[in-house]
Amino acid sequence: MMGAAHQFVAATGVKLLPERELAIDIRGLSKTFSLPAGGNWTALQGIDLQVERGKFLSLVGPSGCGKSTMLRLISGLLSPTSGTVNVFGQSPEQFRSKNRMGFVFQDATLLPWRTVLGNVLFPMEILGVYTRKERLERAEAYLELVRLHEFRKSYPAQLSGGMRQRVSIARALADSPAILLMDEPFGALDEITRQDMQEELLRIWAETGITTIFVTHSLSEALFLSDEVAVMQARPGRITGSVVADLPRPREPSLRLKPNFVEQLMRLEAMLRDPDQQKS
Amino acid sequence: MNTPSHLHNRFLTRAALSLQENWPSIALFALGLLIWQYAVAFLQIPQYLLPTPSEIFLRIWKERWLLWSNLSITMIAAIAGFFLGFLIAVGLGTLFVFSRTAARALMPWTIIIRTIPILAIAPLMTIWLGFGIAPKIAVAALACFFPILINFYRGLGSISREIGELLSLVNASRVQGLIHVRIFAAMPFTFAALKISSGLAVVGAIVAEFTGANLGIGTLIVTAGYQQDAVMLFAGIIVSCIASVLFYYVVVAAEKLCLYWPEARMG
Ligand SMILES: Nc1ncnc2c1ncn2[C@@H]1O[C@H](COP(=O)(O)OP(=O)(O)O)[C@@H](O)[C@H]1O
Ligand SMILES: [Mg+2]
Repeated sequence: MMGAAHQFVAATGVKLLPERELAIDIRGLSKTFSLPAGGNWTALQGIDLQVERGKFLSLVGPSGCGKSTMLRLISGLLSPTSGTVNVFGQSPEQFRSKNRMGFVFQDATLLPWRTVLGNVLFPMEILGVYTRKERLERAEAYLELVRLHEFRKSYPAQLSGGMRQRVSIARALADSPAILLMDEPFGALDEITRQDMQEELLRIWAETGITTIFVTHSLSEALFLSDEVAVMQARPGRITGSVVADLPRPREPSLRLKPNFVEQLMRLEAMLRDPDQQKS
Repeated sequence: MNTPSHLHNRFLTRAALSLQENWPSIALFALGLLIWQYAVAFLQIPQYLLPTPSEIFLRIWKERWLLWSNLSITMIAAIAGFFLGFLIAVGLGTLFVFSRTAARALMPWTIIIRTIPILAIAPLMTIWLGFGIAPKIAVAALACFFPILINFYRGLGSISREIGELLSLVNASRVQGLIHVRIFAAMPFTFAALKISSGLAVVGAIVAEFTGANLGIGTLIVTAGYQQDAVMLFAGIIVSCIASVLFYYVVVAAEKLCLYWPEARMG
């Protein structure tokens, strides 16, 4: 079932590059918005963040602390007020003009007039990459990867929330992006579906070696998925600490109950509650 | 499976279903006609004030060729005006998406044109365009262009922030954004307006005929008015209503074809 996707990974795949290559390098980043009522609002201040190629990093923090804004800055949808964002040594816009960046929104954000297959094809069609046949093969392979191949002719309105989100994940992955940005992608799902999706995501991530930044407000989700969890606080939005997950891969579902996992989870929770207790 | 008898049965089932759904309105309509028929006789209302339905239908049948030849001319003008208004509205709406300056410059003018009463613009069109079909098309187009423009333009802008960001992320050009996303987003809005405009176009064409035309259902109605021929007035009103309703349902059918995806249709 995953064989087809494997083939694309091998084709576009992870080249042997110097180890510890920085995929994302953020230095001294601040972002202020001007408010309708006048004055400025500092959404992010003094952010420093480095993510190595192939790593899985989560951003956790209360709502309004600037997690979505971070992803928009990394993808170049917003530009920084000060500081720099580099993606593989380029500005996000430069990077995106030649390479692919997958983005999964909080809501699936599908086009209702396109079928599931049409939605997965959409970015490749607009970008004009690959031949028509290759695009179709890729879209179908990634729909298989998210286990929605039977639904390829359905319209988004005919799917459940979880299925729609899986379509949007297939869409983000279908043209083999080098970077995957996910904004609370499982927020609307029930607990069981959510855990299934977490395992599926880890499987895809392990298969493709794609550098992933995952936004969530669930600490256990962040810890379960990530190599590293960065904790953020609001007013102003900033990173107050980070934890390198000391957990074996592949991550098994039973891991969530292990003392080691629970202990690290509690440490994260303490960091989130008490921002002054800095930790790295 | 699709033998003729099978299809025939399916048709019957659908007709029965539609009857099941619509019987209250049909029954009310029939009751209304009955009351009208007998109230006129019972209260001895003279024919020149209010004819009975049976008199009107007999007259429609007797004058069917006259009514048809005039009605078809009016409807051709209405439909042509409808398409002209649609094309102008879609053209302007698209222009407004590409140029905010054009939107700012032209939007007030469209609103000014909107506020001119159709009844006042009709004689002007007749002076400019003569007594043929041209002024009718112009007035019909004028009557229906504004709702289409407003709704089409609003629909083009109705995409969410995230869809807009999705377009940026795939480096979509404005033209790509328009033809792959905005047009589709605008379709439900546009059809809501087209349904309103189908009626406005017919009214526009008839009003244009009031101010001077040789042919058309509007001319027929005006002449009947001068002659105090209430039966003919009613006949003219009824056949133009029927034509309007048919036109409306043609638009509804087009909507069903174009809005093929689930949950696309509004109201
Ligand atoms: N376009 C914008 N204009 C003004 N303020 C914004 C804008 N986008 C985000 N913000 C503000 O920035 C802060 C962080 O928002 P966001 O990144 O969405 O937080 P999170 O995703 O962590 O909940 C919030 O206070 C929000 O109101
Ligand atoms: Mg957010």
